Amino acid sequence: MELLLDRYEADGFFDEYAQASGEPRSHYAALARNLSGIAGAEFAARVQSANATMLQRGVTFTVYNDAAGTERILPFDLIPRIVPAAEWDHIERGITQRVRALNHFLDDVYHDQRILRERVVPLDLVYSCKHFCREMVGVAVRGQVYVHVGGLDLIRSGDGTYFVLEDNLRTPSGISYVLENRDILKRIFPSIFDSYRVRPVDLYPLRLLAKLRASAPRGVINPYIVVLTPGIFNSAYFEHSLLANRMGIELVEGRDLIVHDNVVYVKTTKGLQRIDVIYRRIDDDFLDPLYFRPDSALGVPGLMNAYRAGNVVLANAIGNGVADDKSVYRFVPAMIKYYLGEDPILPNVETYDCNDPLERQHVVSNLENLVVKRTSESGGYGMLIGPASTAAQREEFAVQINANPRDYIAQPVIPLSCHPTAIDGALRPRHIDLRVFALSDAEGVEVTPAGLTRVALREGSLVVNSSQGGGSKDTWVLRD
Amino acid sequence: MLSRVAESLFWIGRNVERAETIARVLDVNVNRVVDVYLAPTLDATQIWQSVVDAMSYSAPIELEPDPDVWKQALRFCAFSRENDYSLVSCIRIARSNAMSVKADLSTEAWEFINSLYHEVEQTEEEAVLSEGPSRFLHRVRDAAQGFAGVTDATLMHAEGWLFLQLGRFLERMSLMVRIIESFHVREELSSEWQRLMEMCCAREPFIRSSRGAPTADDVFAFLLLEGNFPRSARFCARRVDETIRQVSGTPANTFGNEAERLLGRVRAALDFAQVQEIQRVGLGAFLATLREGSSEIGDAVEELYFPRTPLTA
Repeated sequence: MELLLDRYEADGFFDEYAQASGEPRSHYAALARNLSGIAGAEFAARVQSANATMLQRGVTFTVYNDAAGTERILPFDLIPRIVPAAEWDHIERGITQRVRALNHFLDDVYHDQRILRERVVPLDLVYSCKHFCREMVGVAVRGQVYVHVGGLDLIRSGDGTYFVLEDNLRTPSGISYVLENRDILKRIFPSIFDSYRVRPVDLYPLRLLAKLRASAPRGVINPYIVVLTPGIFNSAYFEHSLLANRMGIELVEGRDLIVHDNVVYVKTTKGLQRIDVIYRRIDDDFLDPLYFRPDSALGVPGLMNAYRAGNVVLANAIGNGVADDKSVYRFVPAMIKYYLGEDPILPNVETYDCNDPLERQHVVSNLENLVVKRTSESGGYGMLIGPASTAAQREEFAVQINANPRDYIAQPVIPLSCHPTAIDGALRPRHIDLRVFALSDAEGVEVTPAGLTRVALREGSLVVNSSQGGGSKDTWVLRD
Repeated sequence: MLSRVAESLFWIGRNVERAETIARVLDVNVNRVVDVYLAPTLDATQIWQSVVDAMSYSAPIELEPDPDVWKQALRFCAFSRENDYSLVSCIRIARSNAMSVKADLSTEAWEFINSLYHEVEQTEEEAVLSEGPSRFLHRVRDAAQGFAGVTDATLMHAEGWLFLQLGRFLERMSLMVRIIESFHVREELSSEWQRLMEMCCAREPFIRSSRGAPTADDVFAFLLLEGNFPRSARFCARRVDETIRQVSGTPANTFGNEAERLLGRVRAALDFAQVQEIQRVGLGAFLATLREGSSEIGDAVEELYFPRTPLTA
């Protein structure tokens, strides 16, 4: 009988589970005990039952560029990633600091622009950013809160240092997997939790609701709050409906809303009802066909005017993309220093700006050692991973970079940390990252004591995105 | 509640009810194939054609005479993806509506319909046809009834649930009328009458409630007018009427909108009718009035609660 834990060998990267000696780290020792009697076959049966549960619940996403209507489950690896309390404390402080600074930056960029005038962040970089929204300049945003929900991606390098890789400040997704992974793991594998005190995740929807209530327009005591979704064909629809369901509020589509005299209404069986707060999961470009893409049928004509008039609060604010742009990223440590007078707690990954001639030269001549990303893309699309690329791909990127330098940045290949992951009934090291969620209102930032660990299931792969063959893990933040 | 959500719930109710009835009607007829071949007056193709006509609202197919004619009927009424009124289409439509209002359903109700959808999608048509369809049809019938149970037991009996009920009973009334209309045997009670009763799920309650030797009039009176039989036209009309009034708050015996007015008339026709009287105007004409009535009520509900034209503030 082959046991799951037999012959686990780390493979030279920072391993979350194993020390250099091969022994489990102290916070994984109990997990190793809990798994010690488990045979590969028994484990496989639990995996199957987890997958069936996901399908039954409809925890599925639609893959773009795939045959219409393909519903897939995100592969769920049952081996949890464990973050000890002290490590989490460091992450929590780092994320809080970073989100505060980014929120200051958005408020500043759309109002006084001090940081641009003082040349801490280059003005033309901001103005050339695709997601900089001119319509937001001078718009009073309730409580100066732009980033009601942030989802920041962390990675760990070879020595175990946590770095921030991306700040997702627009409509970050993934929290539904945090909720569902935990719920399913508790049901199908309760003994894996033995001897652990794991912080619960299921309070998230109510915390989000509290933040949305707190952001209601001035004078509204009992706000009418809705979740706005592009609809059932969106890849994150499951998440939208789950959050609306858990918050006990309505899930609406653009066609359910109507704007009249700068007030947003929802069409109900009892006529029109006034809406105060919209947790919107539609991108800026599709929100209002009168302002943004005229061909968008997902949005609501007139929504932008209602928003500017202060009659409705949108969470997140419009125009946040200027702060999580991949080329603005390199200035976040400077923002932290500038707005908060603090040193960054979580460092950035070194980033080359292809717009700078010297740095571009370096990038183009070292493509095989770098990761190149398009500044306007996300989700793992439009990337070149140097060491895994062909000469032809590098050639193509070099041409593109020289033609449109503003559209590209490059970073050294970070050897992402590895975590034991069940592959064909045995544990193998696979690369992981960590998305951490932060909720904000005018009172401050609150980091959710949980995270979405994404795992690259293909051997050696560094790309964890679900659209690119990634899976996910439950992430345990431990109590003291 | 949101108009769109109410509309989806209404269509979930209708489609689940439709799936249940289609499953039952197909099953009854497959099981009666043997009897049918013994009947002197009707052949199997004619009977199956009448089933196909009753179970499809638009563009039914023409069946070819063939010993396995039931397979043609099942391919169309159970498995065809082109036919919006096939069993698999009803489940698919109900489930995609459920998906778009998942946030308003209970988790248990959503998982129930979602599991049924996946099960039906994974069912292989050819295997069902070669092994005999009874198990599959029973499963769908039971699951559709189970869905009614789950929603009754887990949803707030508020507006959303009322729209589910509305769809369910309006569809049931309209299907009952269609089944009776499709039935052409007028001679004294034969096994064909058993087939009609079974399609309407009425065999057992009818036997229990009928006295002595039942006549054809007794059968029609039961299927249309019996107040305690949960599938009779009268029972369904009463439930639809009560549900609509709960949504609108209109008191009984008055009307506040077109749907309520139409319902009042349908209810009066059923509540105060006698079967001899129905026979005098002609059963066909009476059934046609009911069929048109339920279709107009459906239109009136849609116009009232799910308007196509944008509302203005």
